[in-house]
Amino acid sequence: MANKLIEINNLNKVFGNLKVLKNVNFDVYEGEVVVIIGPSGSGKSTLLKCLNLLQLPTSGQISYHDELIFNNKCLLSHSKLQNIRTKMGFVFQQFNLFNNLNVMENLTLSPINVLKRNKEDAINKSLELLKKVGLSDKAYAHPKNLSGGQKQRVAIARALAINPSVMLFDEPTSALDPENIKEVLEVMRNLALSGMTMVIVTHEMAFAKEIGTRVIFMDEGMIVEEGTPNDLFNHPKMERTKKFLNAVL
Amino acid sequence: MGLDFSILQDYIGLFLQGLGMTLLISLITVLFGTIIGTPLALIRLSKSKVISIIATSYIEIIRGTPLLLQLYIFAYGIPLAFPFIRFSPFVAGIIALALNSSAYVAEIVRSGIQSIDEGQLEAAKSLGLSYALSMRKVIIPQAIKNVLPSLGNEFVTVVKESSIVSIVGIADLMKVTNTISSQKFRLFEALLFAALLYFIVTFTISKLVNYIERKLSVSHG
Ligand SMILES: Nc1ncnc2c1ncn2[C@@H]1O[C@H](COP(=O)(O)OP(=O)(O)OP(=O)(O)O)[C@@H](O)[C@H]1O
Ligand SMILES: [Mg+2]
Repeated sequence: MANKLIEINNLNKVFGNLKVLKNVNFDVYEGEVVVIIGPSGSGKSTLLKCLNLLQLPTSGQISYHDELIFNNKCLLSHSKLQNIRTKMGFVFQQFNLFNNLNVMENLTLSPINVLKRNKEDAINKSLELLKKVGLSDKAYAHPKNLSGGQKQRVAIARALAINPSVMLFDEPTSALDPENIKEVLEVMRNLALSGMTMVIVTHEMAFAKEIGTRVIFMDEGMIVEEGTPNDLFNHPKMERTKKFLNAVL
Repeated sequence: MGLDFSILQDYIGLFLQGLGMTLLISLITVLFGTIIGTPLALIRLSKSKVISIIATSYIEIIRGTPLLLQLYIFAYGIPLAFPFIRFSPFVAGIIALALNSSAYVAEIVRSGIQSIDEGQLEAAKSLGLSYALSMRKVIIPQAIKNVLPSLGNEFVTVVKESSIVSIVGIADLMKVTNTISSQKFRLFEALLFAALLYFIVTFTISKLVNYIERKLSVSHG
């Protein structure tokens, strides 16, 4: 069995009096590609942001590499928390490239300032990553001059630049035009093939089926059902899963 | 009796000295106003209610009381109450102006920070940046760019409002104008000439800010 990277137990998140996550249990093993699907508002983004503590859960436990990092409250010092976050690359629906920095500066900001790599190494590594996402010629471009698909590929490269153990994707193609979706999925597919551990929230069902090693269906803050892509897409057990799949497929 | 500007000829040098003083005071004021105002904005935005209220109170009190009164406090009030504290009029004027300006700059910077999409901070955090580093490298540079026109306006305001320090005896453009006009009994000419000098300065600053703004929007998004 592969190593357990992230373990989540009884996770709850409440906004005011809205329960967004209800007793969520969920593990991520090294090398897995976990795909999370579910209707809008079901708590997918919230769950993903709890994984790297971008949002603090209300209660529950989170362990990273068997180290308990959250137990009803964050157990980490500021610097330890920042360090844990550099183990997880996060890709946002809206890209969130830094508008005041060019592509190269976006990629090297954390490596130089947080990971304290030397500048030359950081730049070389960034050039390598940009090549990987097919944007070698955009190294010194400004984000505002990139298409949506290019922005998201830069964002993926930026997340990879911190050398994370796992990549978290929150609907990476939902803000893209159809012609831009393919190029981003292609980059993600290659990443999965290279063995990267990934957790992906997406509405791209065909893609989920193709690259997922495990699929989780969420509804109303709960994990309703999980299984292999074949199980979940072709033989769903729960009524709610069937209803959702019928609506989206 | 018509206007006669020729008698001002001998005083051009003095006018320019006054103008120099006005510019010096304004620059120092804006510099310290920004140095104090920027952290003040961050403190006001702090998640801790107590800390935030301290900054908010300061800002509201400064903005809610007359600058002239603030100037009197530093020029006369404090030296009277605490005889061991001695400011020159110049220092008292600078302190009053800078503290006053810092409250306005703080509000300008705060609105600038709040205008930045939350996703920027979220992305910075996700890459392991501390709050302070995120602010310094990502949020504040964008915020400052967004509020550059407002900061430029603040500079213009300071140039004009700084004339108030002439009251405590600083030889700025306003003070010099008063002196000259009372010596020569040519009040109107002196005032018009001073107005022209003030206007040239404020107009130039406005144009300069527009220019920098355009430059920035060409090079960055
Ligand atoms: N900061 C917040 N404050 C209050 N409510 C929030 C906040 N963030 C999310 N919510 C609410 O929590 C619920 C779950 O949100 P979440 O973004 O996790 O859903 P989602 O599954 O990602 O949906 P989508 O597919 O639309 O992205 C929603 O009802 C949302 O309105
Ligand atoms: Mg979402």
